[in-house]
Amino acid sequence: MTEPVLRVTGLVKEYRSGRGAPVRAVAGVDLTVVRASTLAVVGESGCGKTTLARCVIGAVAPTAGRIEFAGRDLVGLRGAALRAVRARFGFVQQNPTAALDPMLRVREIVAEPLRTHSPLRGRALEMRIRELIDLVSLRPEVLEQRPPELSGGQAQRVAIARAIALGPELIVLDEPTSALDLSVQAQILNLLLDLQRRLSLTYVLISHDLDVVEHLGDEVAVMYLGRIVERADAGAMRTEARHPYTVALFSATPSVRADTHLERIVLRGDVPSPARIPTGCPFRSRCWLWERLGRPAVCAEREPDLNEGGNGHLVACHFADRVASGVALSPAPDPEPRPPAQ
Amino acid sequence: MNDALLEVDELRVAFAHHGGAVEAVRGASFRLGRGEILGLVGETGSGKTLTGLALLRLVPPPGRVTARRLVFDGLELLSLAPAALRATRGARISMIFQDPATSLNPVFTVGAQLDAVLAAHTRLGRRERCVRAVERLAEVGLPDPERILRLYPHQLSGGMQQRVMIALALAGDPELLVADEPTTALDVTIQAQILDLLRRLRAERGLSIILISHHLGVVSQTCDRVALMYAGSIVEEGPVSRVLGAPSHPYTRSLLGSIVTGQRRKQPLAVLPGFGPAPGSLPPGCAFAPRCPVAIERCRIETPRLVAVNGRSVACWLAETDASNGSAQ
Repeated sequence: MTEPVLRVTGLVKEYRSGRGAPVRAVAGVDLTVVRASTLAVVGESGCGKTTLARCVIGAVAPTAGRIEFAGRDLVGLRGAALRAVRARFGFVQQNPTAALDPMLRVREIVAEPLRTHSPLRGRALEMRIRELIDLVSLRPEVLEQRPPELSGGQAQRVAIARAIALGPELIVLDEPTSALDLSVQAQILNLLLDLQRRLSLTYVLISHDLDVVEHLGDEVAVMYLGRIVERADAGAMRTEARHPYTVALFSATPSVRADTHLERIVLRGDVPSPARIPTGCPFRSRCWLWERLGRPAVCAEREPDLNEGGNGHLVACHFADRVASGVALSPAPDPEPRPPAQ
Repeated sequence: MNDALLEVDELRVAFAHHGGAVEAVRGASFRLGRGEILGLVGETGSGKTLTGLALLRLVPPPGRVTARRLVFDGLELLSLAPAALRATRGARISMIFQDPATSLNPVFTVGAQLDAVLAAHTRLGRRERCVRAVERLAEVGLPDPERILRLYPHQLSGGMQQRVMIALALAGDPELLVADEPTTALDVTIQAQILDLLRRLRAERGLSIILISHHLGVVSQTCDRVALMYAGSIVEEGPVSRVLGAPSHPYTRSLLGSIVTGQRRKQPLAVLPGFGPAPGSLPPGCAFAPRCPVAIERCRIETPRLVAVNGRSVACWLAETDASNGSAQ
């Protein structure tokens, strides 16, 4: 087993809102990320995935828990110690043009972390900048341009060059391709895979897109209302999902693939507000399996732990054994028949 | 022929630019049958949204819309008088957009906005409009419609806002709905709900839908037919199963190849090199030729037109040759 670069234990982040009880954006998350691998965190808006990422890079102080990075707890670090640790992280955001200062030339954008955290100056600095631009397959001409002159794909390459400038031990990728066109998305995914292979990079990928998560990830963590509800090998996720939410996510992801053996499951309603989480299992209010099983009481009484659910998955569901190969076992038919898919 | 609700022939949208004109839509042609869902697919700048806007005569000035024919149920849309246009747009043809939050008016309740549309497009009295508004909200699957009438848009989730947008679009009982990226801003489980709703409206009302999307998976699961746009033109059009199952145009093939499917995990994806051309700086011949992996000399000189090949229409010299050699893939 390779050493973990990052180990998150019992992470909680609460936000106070008005007079009511605090809102738990992240409600007790445990994670480890192994060197040169990708942990993909997938979930819908409000599931806490971005808050988790912001805690990891030290942009937000967690309410409780430990974040061990390279053997040392980040929680509570301040000032120079925090800045020194941050230099060992890279961060790539969803919207590249918003993440880059529009007034700076690409050269200055890529040089900034190097000037701040490395001793490189003058010719050595310029050589490193050119090397980075070359690594992300941009031409040296872009060094003279400013972000508004770049296409979305070019801007994301610049953001990636900046993120890898200091040879970080961990890069957090927050929806790195969501704002891009299809053909550009493929280019950026290829670049991320290529860089990971060449530089042995470790990624934490935050995404709502199951296809991207499956493509880039080694391990996948599915989040719902601040909790991890399933963790598994990325390759086994689609066919062996055990949590009813994961099954529904795969079922809802529109695909041109003809794998229509997956039962079509459409969840009802919206994700509940994190301020009004159902009792017991937080997924209960939208859970199709709970309905099919005749609303067992245990789901309303006790929140399931993240346990070994067979075949190496960790699953937080009292009835994970009733889900196999992405389809619910008996009792079958959907109480509300849907018009057949095209 | 008779069952076509919409016929678009050589649609062009041009913008004046530095003394000349730049065409953003360059002769798009397609037909839409009654009760049919057509997917209009393309990347940023391909002209798909302008095509949708042109159908409602909503292209902002100084954009200039021309067409050989733009016929909706026997009406020539481009020559409609203002009164006839008002009776058509928003009533018989309506449109919804990607971001419902910016399409709804933040300072009026859902009820007030629905009432305004009903007052404009029906002859119903105040009380009947209220009943109709409740019916429409229920039809799009909103729970407790009486309560929602009194809410402001910011009190609704994104999925509920998009349902309200659809209810507004349905207010005048349209025959055609143009849906421009209706689920792009929504979470995947909510997207599935909205796509189900669109299919149900087609089944229950016989509504015809043009679904503008960049997402081939969404189109594949929702549409009957699909038209792919590149640089302002349609390059391939036909039944979804044929076009996405066995694409003829190299652009369609490239797009499908660059999709992440989870089948070749951690392997490089096929990538279309370069960028789409900017309107106004198009190469001669086929606009796709500079990025096309199989382009031949003829492609750089002559522009291919849409021709029927293998049960779909394709604008590609090679697809034509393949078909006539009987070796089409």
